[in-house]
Amino acid sequence: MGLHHITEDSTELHFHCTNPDCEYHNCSNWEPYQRCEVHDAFVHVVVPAEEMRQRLMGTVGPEVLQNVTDTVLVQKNTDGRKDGRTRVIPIDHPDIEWTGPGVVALPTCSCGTRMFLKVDFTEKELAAHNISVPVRDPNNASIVTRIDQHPMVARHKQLAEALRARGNVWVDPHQTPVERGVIVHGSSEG
Amino acid sequence: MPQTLMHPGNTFYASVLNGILYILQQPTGGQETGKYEIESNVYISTAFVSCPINTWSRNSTPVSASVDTADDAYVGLSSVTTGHLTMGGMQIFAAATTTGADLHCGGNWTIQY
Repeated sequence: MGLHHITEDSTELHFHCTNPDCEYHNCSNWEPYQRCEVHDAFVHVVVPAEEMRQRLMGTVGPEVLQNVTDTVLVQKNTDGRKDGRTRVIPIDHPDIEWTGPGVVALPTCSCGTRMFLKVDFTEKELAAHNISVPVRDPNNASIVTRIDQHPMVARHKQLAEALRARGNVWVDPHQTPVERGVIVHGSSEG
Repeated sequence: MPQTLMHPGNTFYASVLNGILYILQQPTGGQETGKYEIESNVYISTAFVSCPINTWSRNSTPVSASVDTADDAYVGLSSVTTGHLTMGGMQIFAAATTTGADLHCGGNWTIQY
């Protein structure tokens, strides 16, 4: 989860809350790849050995088939997901602020939870398996047809770019006013 | 999410193994949650109090994080914040609003991948 949507002109941000008790927790409306740690569950299904042998016929050798016993499968269950509202705020909301060199905080939710977005990514971070996602051929899972990028990356980068364009930038609290350029030595500003 | 215990003689499918691997290496759209508590004596009112968060997941890049103070409301601190959101963890910190011997807050954190 992160920014659910950012308008094309970057003026409006849409997002949800991670707090399961919040009115803005809306995991039923999340994109299909997203998991909800609170409301999703794994369902464990036991497939009888004979049925499993039928399923695996032709994909494994006969000596392996012979050894197949009752098999445990895991399926994701999202039946418990919750409907909620979507929070919409303008990009010039005064509580949108940088809390680190590559982290932007959204305004605190009415429930007290605050979300922080990672907006800058290194090459190594972009190459991570959860960010550069291989899309496989539905008929042959061993073939990768293309590499997609995690959708949040583009949205968060768009937000950072729009904030910087509006003068909302990261200010290192460890820098002195001189280092930040607020006070210039030798000027008449005293 | 809870995992299933295997017993001698069971055959298990790749999805069972991946369920475990996803804890150590969160997939796209995965979440990891936990608790934090920050507490300290503070003798300068502009001080920051912080704690590190180490995630189970390695090698996955987080895209966002959320924190609250559901377990322990602010005492002498304000605006719990995260920074340094990177592979393997993040920092949680809060600014002191006063000086004192026992400033604290605590609650839940969630990192999204």
